[in-house]
Amino acid sequence: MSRIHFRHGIPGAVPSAWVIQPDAGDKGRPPVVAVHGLNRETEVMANLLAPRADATGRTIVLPIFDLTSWRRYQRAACKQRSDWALLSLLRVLRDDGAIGEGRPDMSGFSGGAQFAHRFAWLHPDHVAGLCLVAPGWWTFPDARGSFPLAIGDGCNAHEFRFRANLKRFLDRDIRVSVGSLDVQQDRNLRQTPELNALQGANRVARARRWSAAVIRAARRVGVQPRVVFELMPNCVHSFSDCVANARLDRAFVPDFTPQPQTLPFRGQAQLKKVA
Amino acid sequence: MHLLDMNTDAGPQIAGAKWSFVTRRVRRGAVQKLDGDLSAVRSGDLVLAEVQDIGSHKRLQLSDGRYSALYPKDRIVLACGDRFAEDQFEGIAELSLESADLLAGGGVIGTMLSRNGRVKCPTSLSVIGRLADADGKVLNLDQFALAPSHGPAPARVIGVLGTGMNAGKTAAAAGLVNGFTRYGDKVAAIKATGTGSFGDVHQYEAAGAARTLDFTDAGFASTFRQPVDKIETLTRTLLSAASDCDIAIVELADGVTQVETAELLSRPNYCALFDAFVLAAPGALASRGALAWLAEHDITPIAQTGLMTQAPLAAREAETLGLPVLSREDLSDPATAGSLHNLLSEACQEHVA
Repeated sequence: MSRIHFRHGIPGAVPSAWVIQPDAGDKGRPPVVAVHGLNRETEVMANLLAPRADATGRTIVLPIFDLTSWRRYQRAACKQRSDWALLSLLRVLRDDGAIGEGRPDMSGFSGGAQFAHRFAWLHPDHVAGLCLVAPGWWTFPDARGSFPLAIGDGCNAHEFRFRANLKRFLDRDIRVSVGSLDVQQDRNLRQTPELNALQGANRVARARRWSAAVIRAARRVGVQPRVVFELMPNCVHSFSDCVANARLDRAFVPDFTPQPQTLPFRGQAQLKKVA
Repeated sequence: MHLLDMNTDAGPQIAGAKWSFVTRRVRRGAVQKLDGDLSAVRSGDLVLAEVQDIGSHKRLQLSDGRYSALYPKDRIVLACGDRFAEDQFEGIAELSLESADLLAGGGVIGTMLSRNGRVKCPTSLSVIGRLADADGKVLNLDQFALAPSHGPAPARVIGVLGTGMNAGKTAAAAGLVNGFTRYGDKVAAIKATGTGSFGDVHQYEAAGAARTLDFTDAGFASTFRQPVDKIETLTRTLLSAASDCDIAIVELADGVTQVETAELLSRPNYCALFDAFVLAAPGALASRGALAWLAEHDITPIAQTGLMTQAPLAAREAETLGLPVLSREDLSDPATAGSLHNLLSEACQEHVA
């Protein structure tokens, strides 16, 4: 039986988190980071995902980006820097031996998927596979708009980082899922004429377009696309609904499979300098 | 003040003297004599002097990293050297019987040739003598320097260039040091050219550098008017001394058109020491000028930075030049460090292919 611990954070610096550890399993196995949506119902998510810790032998970390400290956490490189906060949390958990050294897979639902794809894009060496479920809107891997709608063609720091990391970001397994009934324009779905025109009118259309854009971008930069798009039948915009009707928990906490990916730069052994 | 005869015992004269920053590598036990002959003085010679009138520099940077207020009649140990500082002094490594000038607060003595109209006259000094060993041989910084080396350098080297003095180079270098350190690298910070001062080294240390080095570690009080071959060797020596680090951030003083810097950047072998450059500028127009000069030398920086990034209007204007504009805060972001690594790795792979 997996064990669920609540771990207190430091306001504004390290988010609190639910840490679900398997009863048995390889402690060194890379964990899974599961990121909540804007409703921040992490306790529900933790209970629904807990059985997967035992099934996969992997530790699951659910950071809690509370409203006070990380109101716009889904932007990742927002003013409150939720990306730095997650890096700090993972460092603390590694130092304590709660998780292994390997790169975690990252999954996100709704606003959590917004965060997850932007975090992995900003810190591609810190994430392995991605499972992105029903985000309201995306950052597209092309110049169809300026950041954060896309990576633009400007020279500010945001667009520089996203463009510089594009190839490395795309070089991973990416699963995009969305409920087939998730076509409501609810109050959490950001809508502007520009956004609707660029990305589509609802989450299904936006997920389809983003997946296609990622495949095009990967081919453009010479990376074999590893993107899977899944329309979950009979599912609305609800994590519980997706777990009950489409077994989303299995995709959210996948079995561990090492990903073929270039190692990040670390010292001279990995780089032969061109004289 | 009377000059001393050759081979005067140093002990009574030097007792209580303040040792300046540029002398920090000097083994004090080596000092046995004082030499009063100033005719053969050369850059790097160690000098004992007495403060006469306090001018522009009211404090001395000590060898232990602290400031010490200067008072008339203070005895201080310095190194003779040249000075190139647009907003302070131009000076040369010459000493005379009449007087000498404190050219830099890090402990450089010489003769002022010109000064910026906004600064006071330099603090004036009287030379007591040059420091010498037991055999009467004058001591020079190069005797206490790292041995010249062409050994391996850190795997990645990023140079920080500027349009001139006070363009924001040191802040940019410190930002890069901080960003790469937070990314998880072991970072060396190197000041390859300029005039000895602990200010830059302190900023590098504060940013988290695992190793800080400057040209004084290679035996130079200043690199102004030094042969460029020597400056190239000192850069290689400092990089070699930092070979246990993952990455080195190397700052070159003053502007890209400063005489030694310009000559260094005109040398393909020197530029090949670097994987990339960033350019610090106080404004978009200055950046445009420096980028044009660099383009003539086949150098395209990977980003612009510097004082202009503090002004959003200036930064936006600089963005129109087509190169990323990164503030000190952007550079100290580990996400930026990772992006720079990715960019340079891909450029390297393309180059190999």
